[in-house]
Amino acid sequence: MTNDVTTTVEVDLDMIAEQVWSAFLNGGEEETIFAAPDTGAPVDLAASVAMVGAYEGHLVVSCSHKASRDVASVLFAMEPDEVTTDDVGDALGELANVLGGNVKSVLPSPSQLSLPRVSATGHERWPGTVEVCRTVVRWRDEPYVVTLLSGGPSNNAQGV
Amino acid sequence: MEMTPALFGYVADLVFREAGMVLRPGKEYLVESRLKPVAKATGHDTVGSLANALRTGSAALRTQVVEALTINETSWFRDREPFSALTDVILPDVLSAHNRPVRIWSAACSSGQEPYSIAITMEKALPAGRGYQIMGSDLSEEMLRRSRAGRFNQLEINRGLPATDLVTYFQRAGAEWEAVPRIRQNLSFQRINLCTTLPPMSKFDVVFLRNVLIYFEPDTKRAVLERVRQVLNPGGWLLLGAAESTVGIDSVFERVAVGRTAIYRAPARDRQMVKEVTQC
Amino acid sequence: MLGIVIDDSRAMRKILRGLLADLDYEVLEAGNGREALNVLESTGRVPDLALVDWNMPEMTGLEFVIEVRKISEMRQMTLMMVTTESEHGQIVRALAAGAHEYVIKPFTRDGIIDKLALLGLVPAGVS
Repeated sequence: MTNDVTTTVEVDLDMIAEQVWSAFLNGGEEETIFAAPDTGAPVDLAASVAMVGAYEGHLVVSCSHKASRDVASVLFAMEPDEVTTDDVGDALGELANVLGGNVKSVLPSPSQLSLPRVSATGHERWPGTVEVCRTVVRWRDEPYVVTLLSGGPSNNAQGV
Repeated sequence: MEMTPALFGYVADLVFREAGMVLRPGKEYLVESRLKPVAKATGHDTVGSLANALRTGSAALRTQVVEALTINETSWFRDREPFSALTDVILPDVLSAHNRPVRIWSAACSSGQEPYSIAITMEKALPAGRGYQIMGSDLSEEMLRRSRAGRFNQLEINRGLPATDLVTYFQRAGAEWEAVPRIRQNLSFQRINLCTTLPPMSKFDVVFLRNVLIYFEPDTKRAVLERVRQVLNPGGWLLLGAAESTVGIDSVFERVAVGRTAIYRAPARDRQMVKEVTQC
Repeated sequence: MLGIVIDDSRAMRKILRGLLADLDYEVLEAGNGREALNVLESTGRVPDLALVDWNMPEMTGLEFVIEVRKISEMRQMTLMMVTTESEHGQIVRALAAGAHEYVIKPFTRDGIIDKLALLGLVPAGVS
């Protein structure tokens, strides 16, 4: 099932990203730039949640390995070089979950949110999808690309 | 450019003149953190250079700076006791005094959590057939714009708004929550500077003036309380912040203890009623 | 005071555990609703508070709320959802199922503490 193309969705990704960063990641003293320019810098990891139901799509947050360790180190309150691969997956997955839930709340409902999945591949994992909108958050000098994709098979709905 | 003591002094003077708020030395960190976004938005590299530009800058820039420095973080039903006092002591008194809509002023209402909290309290506490009007005021146009919109983001909603109230009195509006028309129709907003003569307005039964006096010097406190007293109905009620009191500043208000807090009452025509209420 | 944090993210459990520990709570943890029911049964204790995520594997937070409400010994436990699910209808559903409060992720420390204060679950003298 794909979304009705006549349905225009307006999602304020900037506002949602700003709330998530300011609550969970930005201690208040660090500079975080929202709606930062998209430099197209290479990303290593992508965490995503699928939306299934009245709206079909994915919310994806992608970043570099270093950036993912920064997120994990803040959420787990550990040094970046202490965090394990598991910690990175957990933290980045939770980031996608929180962003995804907030995005879902402004889309047609009812839809269900899948559990998050984190992997090392990029955009091509979501065939048949269309990018609805994206925003880039620049935090600790690293870009985080937050993308809402519409349509496509819910291929990661069973992800753990 | 460095934030020198002279520049800090200039900013402190400006905030005192325009908003009556005292910024003592030692509050440099507050100035720095609050003005950083303003500096960025107005094309200044540092807060110091923004402060320097204020000397020759536009009135709009000065207003922006004053607004950024006088904003308070607010939660819903802040301190809770004043809201219990409103339902348990004040409302029964006001409802028996007249049949008009209950009029309440939320002074220095910031982004609106207080007037909307009062509205929710009234929705629950007022008997059928009785109406209410709430006026929110603030110095900041930006805060008034947000209050009028009645929209709150997720982080603001989390600050102590009970979930049952959220689903009853708010609806989703994009990534935010918006107060339902049923309560919004009872709210109005107006820019008021408490440090100058008040505009003409109908009298109020209750005034919320919380965590405002703490920023003022004694003379300003006295003048503000005097102005507030003049817009209160006889026997009208004043609610202050937990750390504030009229005692020693304005001897006309009567202090009434309610639970762990105190509320204040303007002289009533009938002194007998004051005694009855004191006994609660 | 005894609390249980139920969330499939270890990071989130660590954040919420730290927050409750600062309020002098003893804290239990579970990674999903089923695991939480097992923890409650095996410890034989009734927490004062459960912080419950919604989307979790095996048993969701909503299912947990429905299940735990059926256990009479657990009735005095306060249930607070802490989840990114934030549609109006979802909150109504959780409250109808027996949740007492609802905090939407992302939350700040002050947001959680405000809600706990509302429920009378911040011990006196702790701020």
